Amino acid sequence: MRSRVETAVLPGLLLIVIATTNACRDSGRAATHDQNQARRHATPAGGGFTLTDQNGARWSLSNMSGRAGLIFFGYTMCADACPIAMAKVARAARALGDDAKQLTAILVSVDPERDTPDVLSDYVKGFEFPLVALTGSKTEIDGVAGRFGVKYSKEQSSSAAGYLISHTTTLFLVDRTGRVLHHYPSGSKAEQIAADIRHLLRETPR
Amino acid sequence: MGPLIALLVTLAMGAQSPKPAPLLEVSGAWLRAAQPKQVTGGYVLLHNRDDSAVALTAVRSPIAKTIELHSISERDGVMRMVRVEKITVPARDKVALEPGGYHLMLFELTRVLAPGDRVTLTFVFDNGRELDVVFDVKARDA
Repeated sequence: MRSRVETAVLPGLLLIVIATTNACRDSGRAATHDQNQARRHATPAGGGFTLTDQNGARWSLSNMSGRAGLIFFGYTMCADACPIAMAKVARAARALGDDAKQLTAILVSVDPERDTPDVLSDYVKGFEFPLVALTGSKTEIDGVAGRFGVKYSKEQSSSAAGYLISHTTTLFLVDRTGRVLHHYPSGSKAEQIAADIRHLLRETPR
Repeated sequence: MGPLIALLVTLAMGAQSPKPAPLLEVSGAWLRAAQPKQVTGGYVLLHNRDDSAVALTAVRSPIAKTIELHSISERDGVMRMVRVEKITVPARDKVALEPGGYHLMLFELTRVLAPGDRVTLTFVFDNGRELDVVFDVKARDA
């Protein structure tokens, strides 16, 4: 049986598929399955935003210490999809070597109800790369998610978690303005992300 | 690379059974490092060498208050995680609990799980048998 989330998402995706053909900017690469998948989704506009970080302070993309940001929309009570994405960010950072200093990894919580700054503060510890974790009101999160084409939905569950959240697992590479330069569906490779970040660093003034 | 854990475990039907003991092979068991306030995931390969299916129905361990069986599926870029009541391994077949698929979800850890740790979880099967499985703890971003 199709879930409520899937049912809700499908009409929107049909529009995206129709609108996309030339949307991704990596048309010169080998046409792997993953890249073909990426091409089926139009690059969202993205854009700047201000949310609350794990220290309780307001945080904007202009706060990034480097020139590249990798944004993921997830939540801390996510035992699989989100750690997989964080592991991919870690592999990309390792592949970048010294250039990793220019990368800020950003987690936007799609579970603002549970992901308070205190919870996020615990979550960001233990990663080998700097991670900014952001939360806000549901209205704020909805606004940011919408600009990045991210879908998320709270679903009641028999799990001890009480509820689980279905969500888009795409990673977004952005510059300081929030412009989405590339986006990466779940099957994308860390090496490709690292290569795109290097390209961004070459093209972007310090 | 961490040591490969491979346990050949006999799920004996009883000492009085004249049949050769059926086997369930469990390998590659690992957990993602986590702090007590965090949830984490566990993974393992189950290889059923028996002529009849067996289902994993529960997992328990002193390291977590609750351990659940979960599956995850992706449709059109949206990942959906659900709790499942059991994970069936067909006869003479394998089922992998792996990132992006079936996995264990651990809640309310009673201790820190640090990379390099080894911890034991007890698997409970639908035939009533139980099996202790040693898990390696890997880095959170492994």
